[in-house]
Amino acid sequence: MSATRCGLSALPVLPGEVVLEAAREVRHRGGGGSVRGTLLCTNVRVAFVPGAQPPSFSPFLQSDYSVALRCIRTLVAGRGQDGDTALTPSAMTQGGFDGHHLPPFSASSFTKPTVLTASSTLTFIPEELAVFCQDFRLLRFHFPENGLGLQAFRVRGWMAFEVANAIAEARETATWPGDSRSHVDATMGDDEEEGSPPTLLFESLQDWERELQRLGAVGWRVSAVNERFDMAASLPRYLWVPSTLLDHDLKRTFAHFQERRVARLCWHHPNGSDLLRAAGFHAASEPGSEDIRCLEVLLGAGCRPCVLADTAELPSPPDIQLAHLRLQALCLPGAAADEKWLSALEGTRWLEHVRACLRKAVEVASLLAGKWCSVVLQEPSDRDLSCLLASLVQLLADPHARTLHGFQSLVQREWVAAGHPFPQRLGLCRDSPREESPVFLLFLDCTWQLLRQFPAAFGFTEAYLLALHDSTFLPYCSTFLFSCQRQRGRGGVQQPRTQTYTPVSGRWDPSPGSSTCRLPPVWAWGLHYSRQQQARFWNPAWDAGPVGTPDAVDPQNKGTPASAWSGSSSGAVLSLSKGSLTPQPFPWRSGRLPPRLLRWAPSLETLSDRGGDRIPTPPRGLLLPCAAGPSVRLWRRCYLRGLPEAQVMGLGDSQPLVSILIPHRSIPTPCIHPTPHVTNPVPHSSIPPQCASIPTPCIHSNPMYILPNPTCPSHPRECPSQSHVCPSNPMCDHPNPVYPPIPIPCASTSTPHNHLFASHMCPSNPMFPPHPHVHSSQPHMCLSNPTCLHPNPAVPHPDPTYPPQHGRLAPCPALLVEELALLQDRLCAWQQDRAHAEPASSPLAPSR
Amino acid sequence: WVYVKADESACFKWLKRGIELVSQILNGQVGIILSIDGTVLFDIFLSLVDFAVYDEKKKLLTGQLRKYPEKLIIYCKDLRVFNFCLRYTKEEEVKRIVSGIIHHSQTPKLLKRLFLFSYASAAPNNTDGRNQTVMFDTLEDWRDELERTKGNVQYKAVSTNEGYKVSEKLPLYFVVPICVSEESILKYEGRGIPIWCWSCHNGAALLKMSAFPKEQDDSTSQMQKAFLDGIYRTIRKPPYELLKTDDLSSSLPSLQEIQTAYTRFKQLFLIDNSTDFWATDVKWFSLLESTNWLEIIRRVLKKAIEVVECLERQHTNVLLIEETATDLCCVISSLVQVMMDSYSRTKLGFQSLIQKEWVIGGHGFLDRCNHLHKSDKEEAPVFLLLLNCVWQLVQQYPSAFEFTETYLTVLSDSLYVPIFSTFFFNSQHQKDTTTTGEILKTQSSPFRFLTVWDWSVQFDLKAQAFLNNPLYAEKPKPEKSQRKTARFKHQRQLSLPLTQTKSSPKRGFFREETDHLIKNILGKRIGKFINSSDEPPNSFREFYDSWHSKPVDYHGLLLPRIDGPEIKVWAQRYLRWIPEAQLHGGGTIATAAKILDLMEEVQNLQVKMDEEHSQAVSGDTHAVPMLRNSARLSSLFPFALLQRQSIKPALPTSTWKDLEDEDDLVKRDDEFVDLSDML
Repeated sequence: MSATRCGLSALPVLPGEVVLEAAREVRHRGGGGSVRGTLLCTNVRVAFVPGAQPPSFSPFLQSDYSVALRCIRTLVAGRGQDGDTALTPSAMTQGGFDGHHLPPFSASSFTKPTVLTASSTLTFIPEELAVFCQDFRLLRFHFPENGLGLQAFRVRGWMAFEVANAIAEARETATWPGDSRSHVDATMGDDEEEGSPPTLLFESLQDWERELQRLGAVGWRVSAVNERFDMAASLPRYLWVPSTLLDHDLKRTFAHFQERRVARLCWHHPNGSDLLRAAGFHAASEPGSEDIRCLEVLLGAGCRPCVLADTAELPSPPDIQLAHLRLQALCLPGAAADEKWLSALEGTRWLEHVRACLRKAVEVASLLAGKWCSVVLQEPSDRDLSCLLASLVQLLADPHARTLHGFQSLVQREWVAAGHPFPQRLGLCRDSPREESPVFLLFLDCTWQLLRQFPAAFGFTEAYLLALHDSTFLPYCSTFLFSCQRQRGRGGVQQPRTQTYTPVSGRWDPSPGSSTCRLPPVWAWGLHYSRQQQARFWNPAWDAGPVGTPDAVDPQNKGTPASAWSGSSSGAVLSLSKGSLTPQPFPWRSGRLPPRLLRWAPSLETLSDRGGDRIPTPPRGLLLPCAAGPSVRLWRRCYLRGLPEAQVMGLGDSQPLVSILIPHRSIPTPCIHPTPHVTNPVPHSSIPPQCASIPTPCIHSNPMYILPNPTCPSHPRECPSQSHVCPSNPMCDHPNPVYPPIPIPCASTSTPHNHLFASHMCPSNPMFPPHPHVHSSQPHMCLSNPTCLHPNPAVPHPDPTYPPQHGRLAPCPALLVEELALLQDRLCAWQQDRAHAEPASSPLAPSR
Repeated sequence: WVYVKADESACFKWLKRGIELVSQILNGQVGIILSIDGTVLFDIFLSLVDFAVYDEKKKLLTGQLRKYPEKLIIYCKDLRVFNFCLRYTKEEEVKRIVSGIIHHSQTPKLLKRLFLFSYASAAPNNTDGRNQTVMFDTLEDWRDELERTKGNVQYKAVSTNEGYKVSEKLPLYFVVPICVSEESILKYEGRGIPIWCWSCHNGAALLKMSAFPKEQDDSTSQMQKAFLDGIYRTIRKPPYELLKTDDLSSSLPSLQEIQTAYTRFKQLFLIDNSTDFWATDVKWFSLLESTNWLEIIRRVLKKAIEVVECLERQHTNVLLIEETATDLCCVISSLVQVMMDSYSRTKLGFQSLIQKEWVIGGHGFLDRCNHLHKSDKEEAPVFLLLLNCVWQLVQQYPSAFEFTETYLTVLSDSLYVPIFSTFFFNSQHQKDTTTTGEILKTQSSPFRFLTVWDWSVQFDLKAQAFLNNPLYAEKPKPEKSQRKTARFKHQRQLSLPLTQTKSSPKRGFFREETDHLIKNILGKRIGKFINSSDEPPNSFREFYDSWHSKPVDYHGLLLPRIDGPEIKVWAQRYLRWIPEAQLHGGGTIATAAKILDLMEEVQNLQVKMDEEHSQAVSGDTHAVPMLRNSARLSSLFPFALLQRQSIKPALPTSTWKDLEDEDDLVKRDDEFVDLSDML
């Protein structure tokens, strides 16, 4: 095929991926400049490989320049004017920067734009191609003049091909039997190794049991009643139901919910209140008395006030789709004048939807945590906004859900296992575009709002959310390819097509019990993000302390809070709407309203309305975000990526974390020894050598983790006489060839660190000798911004002088933490050695 | 100090619990203090009172009151809002309080009756001389500044105005081009003379000039024109660069527009109850847009970038012309210096800049802030506009600034604090004559005016820490920076503006509802985007785009982003008193606290290690952890209000709450709420 034709045998293709077309000498134009390289179109993606030479192997499935075919929204081709002359080096020097004349290089070099579709034919030779992506990216490629005819032919060929295929491909890739098992095993294995709680996929009974145990939900059990998906096709295999309800009784209740999606537990607050979710009550069903008993046991009515929260105030999926489309339109260049930007933003109603979701989640969370009621989330279908609301409430109320793995487990449970119809909602099934609605992206936006408002409460960062956002369109991750566990088990979106079962891998497990698809889950980040990129997923400013465990152990809230109504109202059924509670019986009990409810219900009106007497200081562990206009912002780093002026994005306050953390000044280290050791500025030259650096025994995926000393294989405490074990700064990745290439879970990025202390830091600081080594193999990343996953196009990629030296570079904030840990360890070890009774000054162990 | 004791004078639910609330008006003119059992809950300087209303109908308080109000709402210039219930107060107390407020916050008064003078004559002379801000009140200061900016070849500091014989509006000393003679300075009271503001590294200078007023008399205007032509001729000749003049009165919004926009904008944040807040919330963005305030900020920033472009790229001198050269000239010239001169981004440098361009430069603070309540027409938040613009830069490039947004916020508050002389005079002349006149008349001891730059007057050391940006990227050693700038220029030579220009802003927002249509429109929009940029390239846009396509050098030129989504509301200043916008455990303070903790911990550990190593027992090197605390900070910290009526840590009676106090407040707040539940 063309791959061989172009000599691109070394292309980093995925298993099963075929290079359809390739064009060399293409320029990718970003905000900061243009990069030359090769543009490829495979049957999965469009990829741009920078560098003059054909690409060598790259371990990552997703580079920053590649886009999955089904993520492409629009392709525009155009003919250039003076574009390439402006780009040649000679023109650069001739035009000069200082003169008044600048080469007319701008968007205006793009004429005759044509939106390409599968059926359109190009009547001219395209010189420029703009790829508008679903994930708000905009990739622009420029085809130079040389070899134009041939190139254009190819380009035209593959573009037409690709658009036609983008549709078909999306389906095919869903069942694409990649042989990426080894990758998956490696990376997932990594996670386990790192000792952090793994992401629960909720495919197996153990996962459900384990999570239930973590929640401490006494009175609930895992029911396997739906193991064969015969009770409810779209529900997961296992359900959390009250222990008092036998499976036999449970089966009675399915029929009374739409789509048989029965009420089940989502989350259990330590104070005993429960969060349940269910589909709407089936209109036609008329439960008998026995059924009613089972239903009420299931809904937890009787022991605590039970609040039915419906999703009427939330936007419907079509609303979300409309708003998202408008947002996409607004985020195109030049869509709104600067002075009309705000009203245009309001006009999209996207932020209004975000606010509605946040507000509702706050209400539900304060009911659970503050008022000790159980809440049943009810949506007619229980497959869209229930997912969103259930996850948001847990993010607010459960600190565990705010850790990276907790969040992944949450998405896995409330979205993937719960049966959110991802293929329809993300538009993978082009047959039914009407059902497209980015509910999940709305959820990510809400999460980002929380992250922005509470930068220290989350274990993950904006970079992680962005990665997840982009990964929803990846064709080779199984997570978002299926609409429920049943379908996943069958391994196909639609009825299996011819390619469903290809014996390429030969390892397809035919047993029905194994639901694992061969495709890796999206959580295998190692597949498409480098270690450095992954390091940016962890929030170094995460402060698990103040927002520790939920308030069950909070002495303030011991016993029943004054605001809780348990006791007085057990058995009450209320409905939550517009921030107030009104008594509402179950449909089968209509007309039998307990009169005493009326007496106190009105007083609840102000509940969590954030007006009047709202909960003053939320219990620890509970986040109460502000959903007011000034506090809800546009996720600029995500949505404005396509704007040319935003492509080298400055830091803004939409980025509180980054804007606080990135800019970095020298740590005010008092240089008490003003570098007396010129030849060896390593810090431990100033302390007794035998206790120089103790490799920390922990091997966590911890950004605060210190890389073990590469040259010290054994524990230094066992060899106290060892002299000066660490010749280099132990905080740097040592490119020692002898050093075993074990996967280094150290999240620290040595380069920014290196740069930081080399350039704008106190140069006499004995702690930070400039690192003599240059990581040539380092993945090319925008170092200025730990959350930015995309490479800085201003920096040419295979640059031998990498890292670049300008002042924008700032360290990964993890460095501070890292440095601290190092110092602590050193101090601790030293004190032990000295047999000082005095312990280390502070147990501020980096909390991870 | 006269205390007006008004038992049961308030308001709050706490009253029923038997807490004695005292509202006091100190000395009849300083402020309102509300205290419980002698503990000051808050105090308001009367100079801060923007306006006060009473009654449900929100009637403005004016001189004659037929009936004394039961409810009083005080809106402050720093955007705090206080609700008082006077129902339980004795009528005579109400009378005294209300008429006191009216008198001191609304009726015109004489300059010498300002509290400033009473305070200055009685102030303890305990301010130390550590204040290093350049005050620009001596010839040396100007000469040093000329030397620093290497402008001393073409410009000279003159003392022509000693004794204010040229003009009362000009400072005693200022800088003009060398070729400008003393006679020409004297000829039109300093009008038509280019006055130097700053020289940039390539020698191009920023100048300002006060224009001649429109003359009826033809011959006079002819003469003025000839005079101006002569001036232009001299300063266009070598060694001066090309000159570009920019008449700010035509290219920027008028002071009136600025005042109107700010008044409207302010209303969005002067919220006295939750209902209002949520009512405005629905249409938040369009309300914000309709105030036009952000748009004015954008226009000012854009103008400043244009000036920077002339100086930086075209090596052209820029002459700003305004009628008095003391309003928008100050804004633009200060902004240009903040963008181009990294010294102005340090705390001292910024303070010196304000001193140079505003205080000594002759900005009419007294009129613009309307301290004397004489005429609303002169009032315009010009200085506040500058702070808002600088804030945009601070939030876009936090590490380029030595100070924080908190610094800017407290600086904006200090505008109305009547114990500092900095912002209470129209000109240097006014300050000098008033003080000498007063001294002569009253035979009192000389006034000891305090300058606002002595932050220790307002804040204790802990609180002052919040003014400094711990993450400021400090400037490297001089020789390094030389090398750096050289390479930086070199890079610029090689790199071209590769970002395309933004297409012309046009069209509103489409309204079609169906997905299908929208998809079509998306396609068309894309086509239009590509088509619409055939307009001739504009040098401003190219400069802007090319700068933004490069990595930022925090010590070099800094250009703000001014596109639609980038101009923001200064949340800290405007939202800080609104409990609805409060986030417990959230906000930037959450990470800032963590960072400060870490840095301090590292520091302490290192000190400790060094100590242990050297076995020297030096005692007190351990700094007290600043933010080490289990208390959860709210996003409003350090301004946190937990209840609307609660405490603003104000000066000089109290300093900012440190964390322990915040924690206390949390507890106290809980009590209040419990109480309200019981009621």
